[in-house]
Amino acid sequence: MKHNPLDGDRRRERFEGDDLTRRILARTSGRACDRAAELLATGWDGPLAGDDQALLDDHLAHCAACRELAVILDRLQPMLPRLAEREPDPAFTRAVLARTTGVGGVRPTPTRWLDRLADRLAGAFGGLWNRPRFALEAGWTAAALLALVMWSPLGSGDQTADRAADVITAGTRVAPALVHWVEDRAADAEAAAADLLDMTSREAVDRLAGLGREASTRGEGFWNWSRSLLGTEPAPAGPAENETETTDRDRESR
Amino acid sequence: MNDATLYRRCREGDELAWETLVRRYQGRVCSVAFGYTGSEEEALDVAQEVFVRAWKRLDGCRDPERLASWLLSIARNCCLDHLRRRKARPPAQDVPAEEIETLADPIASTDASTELNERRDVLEVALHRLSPINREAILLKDIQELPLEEMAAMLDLPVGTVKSRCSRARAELARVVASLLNTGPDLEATP
Repeated sequence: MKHNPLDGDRRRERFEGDDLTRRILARTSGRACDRAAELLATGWDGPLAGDDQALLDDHLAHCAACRELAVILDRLQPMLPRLAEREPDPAFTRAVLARTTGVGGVRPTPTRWLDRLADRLAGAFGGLWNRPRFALEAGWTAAALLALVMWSPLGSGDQTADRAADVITAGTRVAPALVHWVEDRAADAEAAAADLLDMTSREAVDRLAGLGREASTRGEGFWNWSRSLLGTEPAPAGPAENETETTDRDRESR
Repeated sequence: MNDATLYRRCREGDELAWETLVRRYQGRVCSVAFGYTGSEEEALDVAQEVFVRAWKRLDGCRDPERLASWLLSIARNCCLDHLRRRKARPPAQDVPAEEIETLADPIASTDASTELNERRDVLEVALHRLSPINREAILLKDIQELPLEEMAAMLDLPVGTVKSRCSRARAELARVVASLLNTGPDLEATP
C-alpha cells in the first residue's frame, strides 16, 4: 500500500490535539475547568501569581468554555457593585424614624424599671399601635389597668403584706380618708381614660407611661400618708406633695 | 460628615444625625435584605427591623470607622432570623403540590422574557439561583465590597476560607449568567 503523507498529519493532530488531552484528563485528574474558573474569579481580588497566570493562560488557549466564562466574569465584576443600593421610597425613612426617634426626638436610655418596661412594650408592639382598632383596644385596656393601679391602696413589692396589715389595723380611723382618696383616684383614672381615647396610639402609650410613673409616686405618697395616720411617722400634708392641693380643694368643695 | 462623627453624634442623642445615618445606609441595607429574602416587600420589613435593632444597640459598634460593616452585620442577622421564621411558619392556606416549587422561588416563577429585559434583572435572577452560601459571599464581598477581614469576622470564618468561598461563588455566578444568556439578552444589551 502506498504511504499517504496526509495520514501522518492526521496522526500528529490526533496525538497532539485537545481530544487526546481530554481523554487523558478524563482518566486521570478530570477536567481542570473548575480550577481555571476559580483562578479566573480569584483574579478579581488582584493579579494572580506568575505560575498560576501562566497555567491559566495555557488552559484558556485550549478551552472555549472557560474563555467564555472569562469574558462573562470580566463583564460581571464592574456590574455587581451597582446592586449595592436599593433605595426605598420616602415612606420607609419616615417609618424607621417613627419607630426609633419618634415624634419626641432621641430618647435617653431609660433607668427606671417602669420606663424600661414601657420601652420594651413599645418595641414589642411597635407595629401594632399604628392601627386604629388596636388604638381603641389599647385605650380601653390602659384605662382598666390604670384604674386598678390607682385604686390599689397597697402598692407593691416586699412590703405589701406589712402595708396591708397596717391598713387593717388602722380600722375606722383610716377608712373615711381612704374612701376620699380612692374616689379622687377613680376620678383621675376616669379622666385619664377619656384623654387616652382621644389620643393617637403613640400619644396614648406615652401618656400611659407618664401616668404609670405618677401612680408609682402616688403609691409611695399614699404609704407615707397612711403611716402618718397610724401615728408612726410625722404627718405630711397628704398622700403626695403634688396631691395636697387637689385633695384639699376637693375636700373643701365637698 | 464621616461615619465616626455621625455615629458619635447619634450616641449623643442627635436625632438629625440618626436621620442622616438612616438615609445614608438604608439603600445598602435594603439591598442586602433583598439579596437574602428575594422579595422586595420582605426586604423592606427586614430593613426596618435592622434600623430599629441598630437604634436599640447604638452602643454596640466597636469601631465607628466600620459603621457600614456593623450595620450590614445586623442586617445579616435580621435576615437569617427572618428566613428561619419564614421556614418555620406554615403557609397561610393549603398550597397545591404543583405550586410549591414556584412559591419557594418567586424569581423563577416570573416570566423569563420579562425578567431578563435588563442587565440588572439578569444579575438578580442569577444571584437568586445561587446556593445561599455563594449568594451571601457575592452579596457581602462583591456587591457591598466589604474587606475580606471584615467579612471573615462577620461570618466567623478564616480569611482564607472566605476568599476561596468568594472565588467559587463568582465562578458559579458566571456559569448561571452564561446559562441565562442562552435564553435571554446579552449582558451588554442595555447600558
